[in-house]
Amino acid sequence: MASTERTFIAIKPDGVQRGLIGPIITRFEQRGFKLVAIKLVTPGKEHLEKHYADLAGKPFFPGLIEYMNSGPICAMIWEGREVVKTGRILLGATNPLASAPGTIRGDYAIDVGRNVCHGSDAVESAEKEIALWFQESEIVSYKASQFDWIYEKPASSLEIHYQPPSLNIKFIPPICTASLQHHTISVAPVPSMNTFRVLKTAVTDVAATTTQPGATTARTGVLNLSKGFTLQTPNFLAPTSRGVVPHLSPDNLEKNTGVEGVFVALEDFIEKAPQRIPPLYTYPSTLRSFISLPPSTFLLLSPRRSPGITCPKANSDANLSILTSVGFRDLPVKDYVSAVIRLEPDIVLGITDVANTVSPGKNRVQKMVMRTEKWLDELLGKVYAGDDATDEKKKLPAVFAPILSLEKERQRFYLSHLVENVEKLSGLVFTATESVDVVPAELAGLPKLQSDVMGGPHQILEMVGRGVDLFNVGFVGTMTDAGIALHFTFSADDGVEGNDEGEKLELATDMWDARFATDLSPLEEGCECYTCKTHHKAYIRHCLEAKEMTAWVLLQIHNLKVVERFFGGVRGSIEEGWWEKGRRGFGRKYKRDMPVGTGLGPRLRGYQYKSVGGEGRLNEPAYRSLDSGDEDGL
Amino acid sequence: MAQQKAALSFELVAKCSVTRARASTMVLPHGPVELPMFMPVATQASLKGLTPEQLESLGCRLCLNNTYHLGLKPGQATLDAVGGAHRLQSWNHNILTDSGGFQMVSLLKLAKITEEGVRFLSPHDGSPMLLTPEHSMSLQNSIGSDIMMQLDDVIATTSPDKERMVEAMHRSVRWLDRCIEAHKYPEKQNLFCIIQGGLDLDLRRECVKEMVKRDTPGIAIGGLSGGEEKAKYCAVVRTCTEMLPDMKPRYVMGVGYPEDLVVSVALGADMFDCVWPTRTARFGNAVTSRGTLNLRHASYAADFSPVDENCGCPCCRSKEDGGLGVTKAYVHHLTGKETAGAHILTMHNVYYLLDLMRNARKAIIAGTYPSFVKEFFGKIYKYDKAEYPIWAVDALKTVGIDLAEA
Ligand SMILES: [Zn+2]
Ligand SMILES: [Zn+2]
Repeated sequence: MASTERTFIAIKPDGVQRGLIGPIITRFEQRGFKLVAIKLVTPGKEHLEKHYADLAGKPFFPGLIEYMNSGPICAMIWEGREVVKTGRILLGATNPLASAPGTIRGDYAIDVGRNVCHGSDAVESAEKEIALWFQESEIVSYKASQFDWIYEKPASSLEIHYQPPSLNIKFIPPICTASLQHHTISVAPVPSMNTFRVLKTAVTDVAATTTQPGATTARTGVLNLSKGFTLQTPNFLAPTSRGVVPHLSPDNLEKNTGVEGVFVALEDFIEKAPQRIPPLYTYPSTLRSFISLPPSTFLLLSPRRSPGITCPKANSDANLSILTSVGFRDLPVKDYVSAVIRLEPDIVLGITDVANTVSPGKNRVQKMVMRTEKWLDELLGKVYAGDDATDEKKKLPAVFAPILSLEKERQRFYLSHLVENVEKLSGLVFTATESVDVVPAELAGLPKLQSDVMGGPHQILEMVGRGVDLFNVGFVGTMTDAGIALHFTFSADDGVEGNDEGEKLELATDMWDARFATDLSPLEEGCECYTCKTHHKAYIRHCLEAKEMTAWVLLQIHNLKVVERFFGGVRGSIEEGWWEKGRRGFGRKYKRDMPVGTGLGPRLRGYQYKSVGGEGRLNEPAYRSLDSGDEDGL
Repeated sequence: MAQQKAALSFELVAKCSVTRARASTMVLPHGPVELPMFMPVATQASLKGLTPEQLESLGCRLCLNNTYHLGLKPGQATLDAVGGAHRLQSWNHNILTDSGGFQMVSLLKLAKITEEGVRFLSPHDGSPMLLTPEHSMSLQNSIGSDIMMQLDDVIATTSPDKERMVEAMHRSVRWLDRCIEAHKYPEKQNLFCIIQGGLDLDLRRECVKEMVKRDTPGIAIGGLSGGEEKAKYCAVVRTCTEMLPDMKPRYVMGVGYPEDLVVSVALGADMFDCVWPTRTARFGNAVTSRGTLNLRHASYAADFSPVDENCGCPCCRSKEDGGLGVTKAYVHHLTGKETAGAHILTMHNVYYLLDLMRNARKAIIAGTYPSFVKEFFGKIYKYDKAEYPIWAVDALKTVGIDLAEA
């Protein structure tokens, strides 16, 4: 925070040749920063290689050195409070196309390879670069006469600098995702990359679907995320609300569930903006740290909850209309894109422009496609922006592109856009079930995420059969809130053919039922979850009756365990070759529908609460006055 | 009076040489507990969304259940069928239950008290019900609590009706006799008497004499924390502890503010319970070494410091330290919206009070309780002595601590 912080700024050969030295210096001067060293140099390859030492070995490295060595460079040192960060803001995003107008690159540059200037990305690297480019004697120390007109004294300690979080961009070459390989090929994953490998595709009864083998049959795979997470697929993500898996404090999530990934919506964190900067944007660390996510759980960031709640206000080109606990508001697309870099999620979803009508007109559909494409490009631009900032500790998030529900022609058009960008995509996300079938061969090797599963295990199995790899299991929360305990298993048991729906097993049980009042057995015999190992039905039923929050905590722990086991079974079946048998058996064994809850849910939470008025009290008061009663019976 | 059976052993570990503070160890049927201690209240056999595992991890070894509530849900028949409250909630540590009568007092209009017992309408179906000392014992025997409380005739200490107060005190003594008579398992459950007598110190003294004669394994001071002046509260506690035998645990009922605890310990009390720290968590209130903070306030929206820098609870401890590293801002973000926010603060608040008493105990044993008290008040009021509550300053003076001193 010292007003003597220094940064190294260089105007690259293209900037010098184009006569931009003056305008660039002007920007720093006008902002109030102090120039303490400047020179025009052609330092030579060796020096430049030292400067970019972190990037040595990257495929673009020779080209970069070549470019930097193509003419004189204007090297400068600027001084001032937070000049490193602010300098980067003045320069704009590394990729000029992603830079905001008003920034140097936003105003003067187009291509990443000709982005006119360089600025240190951190205080430490500034020190290194200054030492490399300047002798101590070249740096001038003086007091600028304007100093007191720029800095308050004493320096105020509580400045909040909100900067669009575009600053810590790093340059890692386009990721090679999606290598579609069949029947177990082991390629050691590069740790800094997001990769997905198909391990095995299921042996199917239907031989017809061989044109896109990876896409249309059940498959197992392994998703490696750049920050070191490895996920076996098919698998699930737990939905969150305001950053928590409902009912579970982070310690419970870590200790008592096997949840490997969570689905977090940015709209849960930005309610009062833009009147006020969302606190999360000023948080000095990552989103995972803010929500105390267990270190072994990966974080998927989505702009909206899934399923999203339709907003009365339409999206615009620049804004997404969202719902927060204090009402509807706009989420600027650029904020989301910036947040993606700053909050360091492991997976990030592209933004879908969903129309707020059930059957949008032709023009609206057209707009939807265009916006979704444009927003995806903005996101990819931001994620892959970078030329000189290197920070190996920071890893790129895996970008999952949305698949829309479109009629054939338009879909082809949209998908071709994704195919063009396939190298930058790490996955696909969709909501409508049938969308999965349109995925072209070029994209078939990407993992596919269904962003809201509200149905249950039968729906999951159907989608696994169509090649879906990841599921955001919204139905689990619904069941938990209803006081229902899941108990289904995916096994090699073929079931009995022709079983009547009535004879089939229940998928779950309503724990409000009075028959459990003194039942000391666990929710599910043999279940290894904390709830089943420690507690019995009678307690859970008691806690439900007594409206004690612990009821839902215990149910959530168990229900997530059931889902975890279920996916384990599905993966095993594909690996071991009994997928078809297991799927058939599951259909024969279990009822189609979940039981309907009879009890009251937990207290309504946050955004779910909608006061309609005139609904009457949910709960009768527990006490009544003796005076109002009838004592005759005594 | 016949020697009462006790299902506990009580060992006095240390006494403060200045104040009346005591450090002791009490061995109960479900294991030892160290006094002084705070007991969180799991009203309906569940502590505000925490699992018994979480409660245990905070270091709690004795918590409360409310007889009245368990009598309604799940009900006595279920409790018998399940095998008691420990079994019901899978809690292998100790449980203390109240008599069920206090709930009536807090809602006095709802109950009528006669010599027979407390009459009220069932909140279930509105049918008239009667809670007698015998019924209370029977319920607490079904619950199987390690410490059970006598049914007492408790009226608000602020009541101006002296005659009624005298009657209530004497009735409480008579009801204790009926409780002792009705208690089925004195060899595995400890029945504590409750001293009544309002704010009248002579009445309290008389009650102490009568109650002590009955030689219960532990003694509670009841009828307080009903909104009386703090100075009068302290006078009652001091008057009672003065006369109580050294070798029995002393439990002041319904007290849970940190300052009350620290002062009451100095006055010679050992055990406390209160719903406040857990109830208030739901409204975003954090009990901290710098006072109570309402984290719902907008000023915490971007406060990225832990709930309490000095706290070692799983929520406040940093991630590097194996904790969750929860910030005030995150609690602010969750409060009132997601129950997990309440769980987090409940964990913190319970831990804070348990730890406050653990540290008090350490200080008593180390012979440094007076300086512990001074530091405690100093931190809350930033050593601004003008801000110290007068009642606390006065009460501590009577036991040899002068907060005004440097
Ligand atoms: Zn279970
Ligand atoms: Zn804490």
